[in-house]
Amino acid sequence: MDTTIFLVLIVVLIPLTGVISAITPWLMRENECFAVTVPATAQKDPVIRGYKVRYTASLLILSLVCTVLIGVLIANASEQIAMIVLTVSIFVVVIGSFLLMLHYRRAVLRLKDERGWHAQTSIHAALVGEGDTPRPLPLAWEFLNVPVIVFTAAVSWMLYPSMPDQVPMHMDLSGNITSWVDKSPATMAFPLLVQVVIFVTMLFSHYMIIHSKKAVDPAAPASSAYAYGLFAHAQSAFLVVFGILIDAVMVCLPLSFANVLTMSQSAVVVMVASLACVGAALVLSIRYGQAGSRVAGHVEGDDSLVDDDDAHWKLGVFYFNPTDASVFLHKRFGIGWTLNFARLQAWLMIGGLVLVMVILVVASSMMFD
Amino acid sequence: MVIEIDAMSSDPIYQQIRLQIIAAIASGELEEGDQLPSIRSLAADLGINFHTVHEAYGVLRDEGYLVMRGRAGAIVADRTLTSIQHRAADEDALMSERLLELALAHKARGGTERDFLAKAAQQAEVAYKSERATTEKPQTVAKEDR
Repeated sequence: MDTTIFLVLIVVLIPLTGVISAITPWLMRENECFAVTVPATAQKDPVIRGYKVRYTASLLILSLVCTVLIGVLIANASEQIAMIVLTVSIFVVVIGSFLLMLHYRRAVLRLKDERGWHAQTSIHAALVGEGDTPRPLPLAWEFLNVPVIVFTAAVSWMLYPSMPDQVPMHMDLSGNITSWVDKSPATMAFPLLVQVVIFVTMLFSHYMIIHSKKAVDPAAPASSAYAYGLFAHAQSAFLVVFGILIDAVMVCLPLSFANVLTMSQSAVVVMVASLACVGAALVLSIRYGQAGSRVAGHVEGDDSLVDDDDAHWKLGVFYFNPTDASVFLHKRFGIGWTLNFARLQAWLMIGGLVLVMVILVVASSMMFD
Repeated sequence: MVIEIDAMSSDPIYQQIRLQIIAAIASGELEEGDQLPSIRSLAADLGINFHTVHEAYGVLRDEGYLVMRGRAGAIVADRTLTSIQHRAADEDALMSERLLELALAHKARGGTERDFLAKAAQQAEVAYKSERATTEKPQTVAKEDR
């Protein structure tokens, strides 16, 4: 029973990821389309709408095909093949959405030239001294993860004597345990290490939100700044809540080591938490849109462009602007933030995160040697 | 307040920032003791170089409009501070010099004293009467006559 639930949950993950990718063009700010700066009025252009509809339809069909394929394979073929197809599917949806974006980006760039959408100015706006604009939650909230990690350590400590000499580490899709490891303090440290990595990642992401460039549209500075504030606040709250949730379900590992929970029960708990996370991300995306685009008031304008920073966005997604002091800024295609790769701090952050991941991999391989 | 800059304008960006902050102080939108963002965060929000905002804040501090508060940023100067009053006196002297230059130029173009005073009064009215930010272009007679 547990394994069936687990399989259903895995299969649900694909269309959910697909839907998030498919609706992306509709969640972006009015003055951007497929990572190209356009006048806000362009969103009503039938050609632009056509591109967005085709992008969405293509991705929905792609993820539907992948979902059906995996469903059939899991039901009929071997587990290995199903898992390979699952991994490949996620890869295909991610790469597919990127290639589709690049395709329509070229199309929008051509259209932009045809319609003569060129900026004669480079107007940027910032809000100064407005205390009532919503802000992200303070970074201190992330430290609520610490008691969760301490609790997991305490549970591991208390259950350690009652655990068998060998504890389960991996199972197949039918719920059979396929690998066992010797019970040791190092084994107990594994879930804690994962929690610490999640904690560090959340801390980094939260820091990124707090120190990001605040998106202000010069055509509607006050309303766009307010909308961005709501978006940043909601995203930071999401990080706190779901970071803690994912950290909390890690307690399932020591519980399954001690046979309080079966391995497949643990897997179901982890999958439900992951799905809740993806589901909440979807709800937030639709509610707020990228950088608050869905809560910003609509300002009537003409089809003039007051600013065009296409030149700084390599392949539409990599921001490289040495004259911009910001290290973090909102993405142009997708929900969330990205880095200014022209800044040294951006590379130091990436280096730091890579280092954390390497430490995790090395530490876990040493534990299970 | 909203600071808006045009990176393609021929006016230096630090001047655009400086003028808008002065206008906001004049209109009361920024009050004594109001906190301005840190140099880094304003530069990031405007998408410009750190040094440009540094320059604008530096000039505003030298002119007595701002007091720097290290990493926390800057605050709008308290006008009753003696150091600020001292700077204000310097700025007043500078203003008198500029007014003289403008009056001489007006006279050289054949303008009358009355006309000069009328135009000066009109701009003063713009600065003092408007409740909102006076970042707009100076009012011209021609625009009103049309």
